[in-house]
Amino acid sequence: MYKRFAIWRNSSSQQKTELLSALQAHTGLILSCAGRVLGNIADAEDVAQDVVESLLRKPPREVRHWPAFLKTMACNRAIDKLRKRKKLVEPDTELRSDGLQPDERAEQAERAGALRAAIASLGSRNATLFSLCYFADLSHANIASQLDMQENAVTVALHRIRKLLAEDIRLQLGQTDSGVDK
Amino acid sequence: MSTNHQMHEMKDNSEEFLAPFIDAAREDVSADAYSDAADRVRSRLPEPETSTRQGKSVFRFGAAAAMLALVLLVGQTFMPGNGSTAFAAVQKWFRDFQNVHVTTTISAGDSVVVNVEVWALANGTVRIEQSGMVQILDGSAATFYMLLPGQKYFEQPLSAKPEQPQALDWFEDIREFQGEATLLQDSRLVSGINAQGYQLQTDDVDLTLWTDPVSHRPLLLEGALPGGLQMISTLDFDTDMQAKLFEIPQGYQLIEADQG
Repeated sequence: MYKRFAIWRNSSSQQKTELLSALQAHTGLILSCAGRVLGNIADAEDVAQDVVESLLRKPPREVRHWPAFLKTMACNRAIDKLRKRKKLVEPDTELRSDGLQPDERAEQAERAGALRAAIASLGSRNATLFSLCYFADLSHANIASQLDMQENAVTVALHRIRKLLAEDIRLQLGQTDSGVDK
Repeated sequence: MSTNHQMHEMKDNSEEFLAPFIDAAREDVSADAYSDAADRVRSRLPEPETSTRQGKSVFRFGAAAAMLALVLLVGQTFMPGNGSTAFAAVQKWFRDFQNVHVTTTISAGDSVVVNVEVWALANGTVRIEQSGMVQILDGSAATFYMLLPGQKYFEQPLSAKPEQPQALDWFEDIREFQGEATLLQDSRLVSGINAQGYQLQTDDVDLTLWTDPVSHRPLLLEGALPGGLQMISTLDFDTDMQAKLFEIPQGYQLIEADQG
């Protein structure tokens, strides 16, 4: 089990207070981003633990937008974890009471798994960029700020990444663009 | 190879194609699971610094004081825009009060981050309660007191310049700001009064001040703070305020400050 986080040192009192307030307020965001990338709450909690420990060890300076900053950290760590997985973990679909029939739930799980496999095959920066847009719900402007890019470059990169992912998934499903099985 | 070529040439319908895959990935962990995990992570966060360095960090406990100052400075920093006459009357309440009681809640979504209650007199004497801690700033004696557990208290003269923490930069922004108060079209029920609202905006903080349209008395201040936090302050001007709120309770003993 996890231990309580250690009190950090070598930071000003103000940095600590600001960081603790941000973590208290936005832990849910870290988890939901990591959970969407990884599809598994235990792995998402590992990522959240990792993010919090890292921040407490070295609090960042001059964070302008804590939610975007924490979401970016969460997506980065979650992508690393996703790419290291040898085998995709079963998502937590059995935990949901969403009214879906078993076959519908299986189909949803298959879709989520296919997307995650495709994301894992992207370069880490592209995978993070896609996750920030579609899992963390950051605006293009916010993504550009977090990844130190031009907003226009974010739009162009997302267009290219979507095509790569769609191609990968179609190959996984044995489909051509027209949807006809090969 | 021909498959790759077909892929390269295909029409970009990828966003539409990906939509159900993205939806599936977004929804396969339940909201309850996220909420439980967030509670577990939060429970492992360290407590803020406390007792052993209270003497040194006394002014770092200044968010509550800043909150009050923010409220009081609203009357001095915002220049009237549209509805100027009415807002000038609102500002007068901030300048000419006898006493004011402010209760502030800062929250993130449904989670309360901090609750602060402040009682202030026109002479600068202030009592602040936050998380069970009580601070009294005696304006006439220029002395700061902090009530501690075990019926003890700590005191410090206010001759030293208080530390200005970085997180209060937004407060400084407001103090320097020459903004505009915009009268809102819609009214809102506050404490049984059909209140009139003013929008006050800076780079970092958006404030909405709700006032009594007849007496122009400020009733409620709402703010969107940096970091996605929301602030709500209820304002109660010129109430029957007891003097003992600003006194050290009987039986409390003075302790020496830890200068370490």
